Amino acid sequence: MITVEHLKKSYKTTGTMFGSAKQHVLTDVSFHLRHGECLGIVGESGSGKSTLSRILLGLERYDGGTILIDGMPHNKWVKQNKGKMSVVFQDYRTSVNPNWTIEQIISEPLNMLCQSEGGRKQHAAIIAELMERIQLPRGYLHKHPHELSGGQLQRICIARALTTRPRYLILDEAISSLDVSVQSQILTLLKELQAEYSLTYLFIAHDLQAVTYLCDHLAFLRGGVIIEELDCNHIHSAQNEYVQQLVGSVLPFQSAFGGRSTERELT
Amino acid sequence: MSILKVKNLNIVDIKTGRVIVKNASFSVQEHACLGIVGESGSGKSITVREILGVNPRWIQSAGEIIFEGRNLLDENEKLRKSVRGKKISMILQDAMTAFNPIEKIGLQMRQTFMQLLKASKKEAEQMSLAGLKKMNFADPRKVYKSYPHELSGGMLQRCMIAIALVLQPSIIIADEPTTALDSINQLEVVKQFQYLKELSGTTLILISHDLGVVQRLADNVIVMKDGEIVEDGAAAAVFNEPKHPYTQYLVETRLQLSNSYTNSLQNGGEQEHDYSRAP
Repeated sequence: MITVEHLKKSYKTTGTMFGSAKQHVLTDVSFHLRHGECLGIVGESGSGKSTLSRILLGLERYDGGTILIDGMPHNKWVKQNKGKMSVVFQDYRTSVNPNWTIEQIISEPLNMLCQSEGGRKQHAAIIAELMERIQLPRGYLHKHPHELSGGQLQRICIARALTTRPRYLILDEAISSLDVSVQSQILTLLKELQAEYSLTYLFIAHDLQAVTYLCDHLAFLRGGVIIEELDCNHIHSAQNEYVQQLVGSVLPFQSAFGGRSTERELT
Repeated sequence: MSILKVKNLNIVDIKTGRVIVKNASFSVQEHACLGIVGESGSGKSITVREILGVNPRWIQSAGEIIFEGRNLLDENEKLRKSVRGKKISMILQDAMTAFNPIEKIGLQMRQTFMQLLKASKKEAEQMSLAGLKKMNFADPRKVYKSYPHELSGGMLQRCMIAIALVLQPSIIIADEPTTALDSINQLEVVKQFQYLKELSGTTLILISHDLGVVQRLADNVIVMKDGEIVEDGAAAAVFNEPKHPYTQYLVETRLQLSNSYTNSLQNGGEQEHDYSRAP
């Protein structure tokens, strides 16, 4: 369980003549993430979503507030639980080393945790299992990133994040730069993986439709503050004006195909 | 009545010898909207760029593109230039980079009209302001005097539509006009296109991989896969009774995304009167 309370973060802005001004990215962020749940953080660009994910990963310090993970202070937990929190980034092309083979890419986190000779054999077994899980043939291990399509490469990134058997997985706009049809494949895969490995997801996105597909809870972030927290089933009863606007602006696709009827007009 | 006809269009990249578009034939009906859907790399953009004639030199094409009784592919650069912008305009995906960042929006709009419509400076200014006003800007003069970085992506996209509106071309081509926008701006741009369709009855060619956007705007749809048109027909028919397996796959995957959203909205709707459970 992750508990975040009154989290604050600001950056120094350069270019001011006298002293340095501060840009407040997160002013007061509080939320809970229970084990086995999926929390969606929705916000437009510049709302501080990615800063939040970097702070949780321990890649950046925070200025105020508290973060408790499994009841432990954040920095202590991060030191004691190496590899137990993973991340999948938006840009799959730049988050892999183009010179490496897929096998090297996937095994990187494992090699960092364990260098011994006995470990290597175990690593091969873990990788084989994950490749099967993400539905890519074993032969892909010897390919290079440029030979794979976007959707395949993002699956490799997900597999890489799962090698260390994490408890928490942060998905930072992980599907935003994929085609819609590939997006829903990846989302289905993520849903299956969540059940199988009992993962807890923090899903950061700006697309409401994708978020409601995967998540149980939603938190809307705007201007560094969580303006509303909702159950996915309750998005219709949003109180905040901005959230209502966001909910109303989604363009749902309707089709009578496959016997599924979605005739209800939702405009 | 069809205003533009594409017959057996083949497009080849002579650098690599790869065939990008294979035997594409379709026609665009006047005062209607044609949607082109397909995943990235299916040849949608290359096809419409060939209609305008703005592909790089190493992209060679064969076939017929008939507009106003002439095959555009046989015509010289001078005639194609007279068609480009004035008769067939294009709205690009990324409005942020389509405008020059160091010039004000007003100057860029004015220059376009002065060059293409041979308007005087004053006329061009009036045209720009009138165009911006039609795009529902609260203060057109403020937008006119802004630099691109001072406006949001959605606002810039509307400026681009305003330019197309003033030029009154026979056909407007919109290449993924909503992809780079967040959902609030996306809805706004879609609404502007709907308005544009009703107001001027322009013929529209809309390229998008998001079926939700296409469904809102398009009357007819063609589906492209690996450079081939696999299905075409009226939008309602293609989306409700897709015949080709690939179209079925596109519709199914998109429905998966949409259904969870509509379900949660409907659940919320049912519980709307239950105030004790509302957060």
